[in-house]
Amino acid sequence: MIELSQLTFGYGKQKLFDNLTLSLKPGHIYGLLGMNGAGKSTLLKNIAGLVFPWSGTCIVNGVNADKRLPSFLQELFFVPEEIYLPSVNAKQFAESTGHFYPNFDFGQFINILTEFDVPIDKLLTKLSFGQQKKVIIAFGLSTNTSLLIMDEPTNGLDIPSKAQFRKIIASALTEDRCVIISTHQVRDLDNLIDTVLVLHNRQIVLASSLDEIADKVNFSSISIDSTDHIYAEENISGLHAITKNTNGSYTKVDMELLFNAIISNNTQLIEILNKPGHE
Amino acid sequence: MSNTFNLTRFIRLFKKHTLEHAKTYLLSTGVLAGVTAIGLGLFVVTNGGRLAIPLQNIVFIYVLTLAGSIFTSLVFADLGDKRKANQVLTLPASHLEKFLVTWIYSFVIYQLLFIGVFYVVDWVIIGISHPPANDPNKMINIFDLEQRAYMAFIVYAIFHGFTLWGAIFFEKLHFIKTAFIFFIYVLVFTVINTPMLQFIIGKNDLRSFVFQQFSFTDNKRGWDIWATDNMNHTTLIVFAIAVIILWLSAFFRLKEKEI
Repeated sequence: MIELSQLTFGYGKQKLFDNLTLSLKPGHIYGLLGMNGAGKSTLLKNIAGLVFPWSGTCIVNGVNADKRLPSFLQELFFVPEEIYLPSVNAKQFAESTGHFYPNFDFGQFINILTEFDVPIDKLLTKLSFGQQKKVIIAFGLSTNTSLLIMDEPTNGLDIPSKAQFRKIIASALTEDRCVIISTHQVRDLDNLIDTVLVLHNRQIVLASSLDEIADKVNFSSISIDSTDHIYAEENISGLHAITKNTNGSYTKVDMELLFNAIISNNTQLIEILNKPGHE
Repeated sequence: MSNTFNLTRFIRLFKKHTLEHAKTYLLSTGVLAGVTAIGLGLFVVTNGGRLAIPLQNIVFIYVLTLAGSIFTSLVFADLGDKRKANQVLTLPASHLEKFLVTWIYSFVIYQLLFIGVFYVVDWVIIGISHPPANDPNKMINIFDLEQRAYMAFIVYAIFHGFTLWGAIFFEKLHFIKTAFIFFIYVLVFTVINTPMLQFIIGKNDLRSFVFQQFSFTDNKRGWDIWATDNMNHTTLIVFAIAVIILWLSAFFRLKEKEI
């Protein structure tokens, strides 16, 4: 589906990615995490063909992304962080734009908008930012493209809408579809993604499914004087920690803790998570 | 389905562009009519109700060129706005189709619309003017070779080439920046033209006007050398090639546009 090979890119003289290699498959919802300025949006733009690599390649569905061929674009929908919608209503927008996407489903678009409680007859420019975001998310899902990229999609959504968003995205995943969601609000991706990508220090330092992570490490509270952990943060009841999973037990992956551990350059954790096979 | 050009996709893109820009274009047409009316009206008022053909020609050429250049300089403004550029560049249509829609609107449709607007406004202004009874106002005929109003289309093509290139090359202040570059070119041409001709002809007192004429003295006789009709045709061909190069540059710039 997506093959990034030895990709190097930056702006001006500043390099953002250095020989980055990554392979993404259909049937997954990937969560792309990274600190502000790590290059999450830029990586997504490389995949969407909106910027061109300095060196290396970005192949999507067998085609070089930077050629922006119609056959490539009709299988990709990109929801950017900052959106623009024309001065038409949602119905007109779908009628004028939907037919560029062979699998666009008008009924699905209306259903998602109804679920999001967005009026379909009101001019898009008169909607609030959150409502506009819902329109573009609904449209992106209804295109049924094999690749759906969303850059900070939950920015501007209120708390009930974030829950709706998770539910709708989860229901839209098929085995032929690949969804990539970038965010710096890690908790927004709880119970939604199945694979975590962490972009840090110009590299993808982690590309692993939640199951694989849970196989290798545990996330639990331990006593404050315990030292038997890979990474820990203090909380009211003691230490919230990541420990090695030595007995094959399962704990839910705490993405915020995992993310904090990685961006603090915890090499022990990164090595454990990137080791192939089971511990 | 071809990745270079597909008629169905092109028509869909054209319709989408029209739907999303209809209000802006309608308002712009009103402004165009207003500017034309002011231009023609001022000539009527300052000439005792008369509106001679050359004056109509002046308004036709200046408004067509100036308004068209401003409009063209804004047609790719969406690409300077990251929010809009995302949608334009990821919309499943080829670069050629996206370029052609913009080219057709700014070159073909604009000129056809302007001709219509000009004739309507001209007809109204002439209708309400009060010229002397022995000197009634007549409307210009833009296809009359003697009236030379057709020159407006040649001038507009040159300006369109420049402004379309500037519209995609610059991200902001498209018109100002393009006009600046244009005047730099004109200045460079004007400044280097005389020394080049002085070098070729070998006359230090030579004076010239770009693409048109030069003069010098030889044995106390003054000589004025004017371009022949054939040379004028050559100039037109040079301009036509320059315009096509500018259009092609704009197209390839669109292909390699990054945001």
